[in-house]
Amino acid sequence: MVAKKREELLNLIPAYTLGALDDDERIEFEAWLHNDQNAQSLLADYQAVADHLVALVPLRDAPHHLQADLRQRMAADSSRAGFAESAPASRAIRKSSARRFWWVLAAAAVLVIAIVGVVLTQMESDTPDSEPNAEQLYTQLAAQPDAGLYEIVPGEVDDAVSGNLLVSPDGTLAVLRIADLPAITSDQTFQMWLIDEAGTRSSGGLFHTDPAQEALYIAVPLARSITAYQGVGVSLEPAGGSPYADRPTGPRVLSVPLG
Amino acid sequence: MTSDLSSLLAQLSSGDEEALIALHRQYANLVYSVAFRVLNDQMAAEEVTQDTFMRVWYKAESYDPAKGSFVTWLLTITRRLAIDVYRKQQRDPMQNPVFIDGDVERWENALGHEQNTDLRRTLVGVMVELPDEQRQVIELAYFHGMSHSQIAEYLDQPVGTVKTRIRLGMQKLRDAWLTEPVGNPKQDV
Repeated sequence: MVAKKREELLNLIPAYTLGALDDDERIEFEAWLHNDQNAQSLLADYQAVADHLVALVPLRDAPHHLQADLRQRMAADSSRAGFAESAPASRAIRKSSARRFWWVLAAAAVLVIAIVGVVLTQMESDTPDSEPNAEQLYTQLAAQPDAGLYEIVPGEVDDAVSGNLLVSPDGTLAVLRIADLPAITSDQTFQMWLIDEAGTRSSGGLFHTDPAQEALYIAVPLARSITAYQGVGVSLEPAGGSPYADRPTGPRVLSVPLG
Repeated sequence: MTSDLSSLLAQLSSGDEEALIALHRQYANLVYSVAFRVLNDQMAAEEVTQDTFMRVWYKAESYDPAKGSFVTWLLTITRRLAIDVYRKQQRDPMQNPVFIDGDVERWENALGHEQNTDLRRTLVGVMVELPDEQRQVIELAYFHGMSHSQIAEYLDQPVGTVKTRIRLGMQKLRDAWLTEPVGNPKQDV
């Protein structure tokens, strides 16, 4: 990257911490930031400042009834989800049961790994490095000038949903970046769908949001090149996902037309 | 993070509703203030406050102390939820132009000993002294989720002018931040 370009991008750091970059700017910025240690350090300073701006807000007293309202809402949420299924306590219980299951599974896996390890050693296999996570992959794709960029179209759930789909130049890798997803309850989940040329849908997996993250990055599990698909979509489904393997049952959260 | 807060978060993960109520008692004013600042609407701010704590209830496990303080995480959730509502309502941001709270002591009391008083006092001082046009663009971006181009359109100014104002204003705040002799500012807020 030429020096002038770097200076321009450095100048965007303050705006980035405020969330003020436009989408195209942000994509270019994040791709550059990934490989610039000095910029990351500068970003940390500005991020700390931005985090504190919130404390300059005039303080107000929250209405007293909010505490009682919160109790009612927790109770209502629990009953709607079905006998505390949604509460953290039941998640802990489920985790405990699941932990026993995973111990058994892990023991079996160790055996398998040991056997496979011996075989692989004998084959002198050239194992690749671990794959990058979706956000890293997105950043890598953003740095490629021939990467494909497709905008998200909000669905009927919430028209504030935004983001894009980045596709590698050869069409074999794709990452969704989604911002402003609506809040969902614990008895709901988001489900990705891939729609091929014939209009056949297949599930791309379930996901939830992290409320503190500005955006969610999800690798799209492409079975074929992106050219074999006419679109990617996300629906809002009950926990566990759509009961059907080939179609959503809930409303559309977003779509990404690839045509 | 204080031991009290650690304990509350642990209780929260095990499904103790009283832990959430305790967090609400401690932080509801902060959360409500931030929501109100974005929305300038009592009902909407109340709704965002409750939504924030319900997110904490369901997503407490996603809080990572290594990435910042609990209050930062909590108020980031609040601000983003409020901005979501703000965008849907398509309000005029200038309906709520007051930005800075000069009453630092109230924030100190609300945040407790986890926070750094001098630093906040310094930031308040610098914000007060910023030229109006720099403070305005920072406010539009931070509290209303507006991008460079959206701010430019809203203010009827060139995008380059908006970028420069944001950069200059934030540089002054950062300079103040770095010159303030604090122990560990990143543990703040």
